[in-house]
Amino acid sequence: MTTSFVLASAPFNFQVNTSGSVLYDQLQQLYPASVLQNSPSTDIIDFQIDFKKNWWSFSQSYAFKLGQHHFRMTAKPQLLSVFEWGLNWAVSSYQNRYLCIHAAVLEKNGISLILPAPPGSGKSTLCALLMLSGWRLLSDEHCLIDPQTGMILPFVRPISLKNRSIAVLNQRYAKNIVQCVVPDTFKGTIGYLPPTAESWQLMHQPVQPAYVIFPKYNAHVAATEFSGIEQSQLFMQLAVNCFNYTVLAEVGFETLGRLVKQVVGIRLEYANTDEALQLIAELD
Amino acid sequence: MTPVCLQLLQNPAKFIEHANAQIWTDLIHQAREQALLGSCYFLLQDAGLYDAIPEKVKTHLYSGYIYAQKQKISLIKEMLKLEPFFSDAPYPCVLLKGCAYRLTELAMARGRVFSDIDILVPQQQFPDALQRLNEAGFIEFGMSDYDRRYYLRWSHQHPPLIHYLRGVSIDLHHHIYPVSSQENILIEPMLRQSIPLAGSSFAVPTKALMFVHACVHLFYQDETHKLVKDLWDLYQLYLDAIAEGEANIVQAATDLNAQAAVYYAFDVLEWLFQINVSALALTQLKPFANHSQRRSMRWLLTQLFNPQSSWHRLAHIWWAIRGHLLKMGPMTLLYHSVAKSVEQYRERRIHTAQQQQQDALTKPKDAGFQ
Repeated sequence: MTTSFVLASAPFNFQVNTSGSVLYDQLQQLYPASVLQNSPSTDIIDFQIDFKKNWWSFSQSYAFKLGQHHFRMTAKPQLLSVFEWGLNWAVSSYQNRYLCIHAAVLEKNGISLILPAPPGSGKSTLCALLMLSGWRLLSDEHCLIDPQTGMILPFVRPISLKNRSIAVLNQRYAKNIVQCVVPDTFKGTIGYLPPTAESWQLMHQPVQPAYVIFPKYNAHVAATEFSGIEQSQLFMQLAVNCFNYTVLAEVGFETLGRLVKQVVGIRLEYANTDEALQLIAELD
Repeated sequence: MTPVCLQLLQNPAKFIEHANAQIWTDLIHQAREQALLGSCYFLLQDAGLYDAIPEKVKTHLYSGYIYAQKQKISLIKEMLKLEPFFSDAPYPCVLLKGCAYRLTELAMARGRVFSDIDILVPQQQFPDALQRLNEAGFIEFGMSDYDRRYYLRWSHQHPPLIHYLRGVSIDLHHHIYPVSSQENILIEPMLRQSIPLAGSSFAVPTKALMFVHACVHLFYQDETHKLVKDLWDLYQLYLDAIAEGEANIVQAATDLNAQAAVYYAFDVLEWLFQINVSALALTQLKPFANHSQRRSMRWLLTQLFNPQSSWHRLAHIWWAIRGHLLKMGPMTLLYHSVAKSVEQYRERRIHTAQQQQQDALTKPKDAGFQ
């Protein structure tokens, strides 16, 4: 049996066909009904995804495909994680309308934060903590900059947390605040934190870039570092964190150049999470 | 039923007038599959219709345009790097297909994407050209012994050569059609009539020969996944070639001994894009073509275009068998089918064992605080 649903997640709509209802049931815990729709869309769909078992295969594995483009096979227990990664793959590989930085984005009182960082730096954990302390989430993975306006477009999705971050969040807030925990993925254990109601409500509202913070959790630093970054350095560090900077070529260069002139760049290295959160809260 | 992507290419104004959300969705999907997003972008820009399409569709057509622009820059950089290695080559080095369209600055090259650089050299100089490409850093990567033998014995090109750092792929050809074929397509005129690119060691075919090559490529091929793109290429190349005279096309077809392919191409272009072919040209080409072949081409394309047809799946299989038969002849195809099946079975076993070994080594575990 095939389940079909639409994920109306601005700025992209996904149409998904999947075998059985396991994936849909899990996604219901993470996405609101206004976004996860089980009726055919009257809007234009950006990405049509098949995430089904191959009828000819004995393995019972699911294959994530965008048309003929294959992403990955997975067994049933890792269905949700591979689905979320698959959406990331589709957007980072097949759209070049927006400059796409691998970064989390949040906003509070008109002040926006871009948090680019390589895996393992604690970006998602910090992003989750900020969202739970009142910042609205625009994205945990994709900072989409419109080259025409210079604004950041929200691409609201659940925050993906790995391994010990799950325990940190559960300990700090409520037990089971992190949902749909998937063990034994190739990245370890993955859990998902649903965006706050405000994040969903404002999912169509772009923001002006204000701060770019490069976070790094380091249990061994004695004092929190919260220092400025020069524009030239900021440009290069953002460029290496982009998914499509080289593809956008001149457009990418101009967009990033404009962004760098608009924002304040900050390096944040911390062991004390509360102190880091406090320093960010004091930004204006 | 014509694929929506082809409908847009046939008549963009009419398409926009009737399109609803579902049709636009299908268009985005098909244009992405066929690698036609950038081509659709330029088609609509040229027709002054780009601003009449929904923003969501623009997002993807523009993405295709951006990607094609990037490829254009990469291609020019790559060709500049290749130049010194071929500067003293005492034989024609002819660029084919996408690379030639782009460097000839054909309008149809705008927005068009391609996967590799195709170079044609005379068969006698094939080892020398290979040596030069090796020196430029292009080498063979991971191919089974059988596949390698297949390329060298039956095909018209060397196994793909990939740059060891940049990942760019080059197909080095000594012909435009498999040597195992029973068709007798001639290659010498393609080399002799090529036009040197100003200030370059490379040359490109005449527009008429580019069109004839596309006819050969389309009508003797076995793949269906880029059929709309191939047909659009064919039509666009026809428009470029016909501007220099229909007689040139017939002459090029005669030179390459590819009259049948051009006849079938004219027939399909008349059907899909309403081109007008003169009675004289048809009279000159028709004796080389086969009426049942022409009818089966149309029937196959009609079924391939219509996923709802009960013949759709069969048409795919028949198209593949037909293409292989034309390329190899029945006995070679039989040998190839058996040998390839055995090869694939062996490879799958080895691959599965390797995968299991790798999985065991990379068993997921808690990676610490991240």
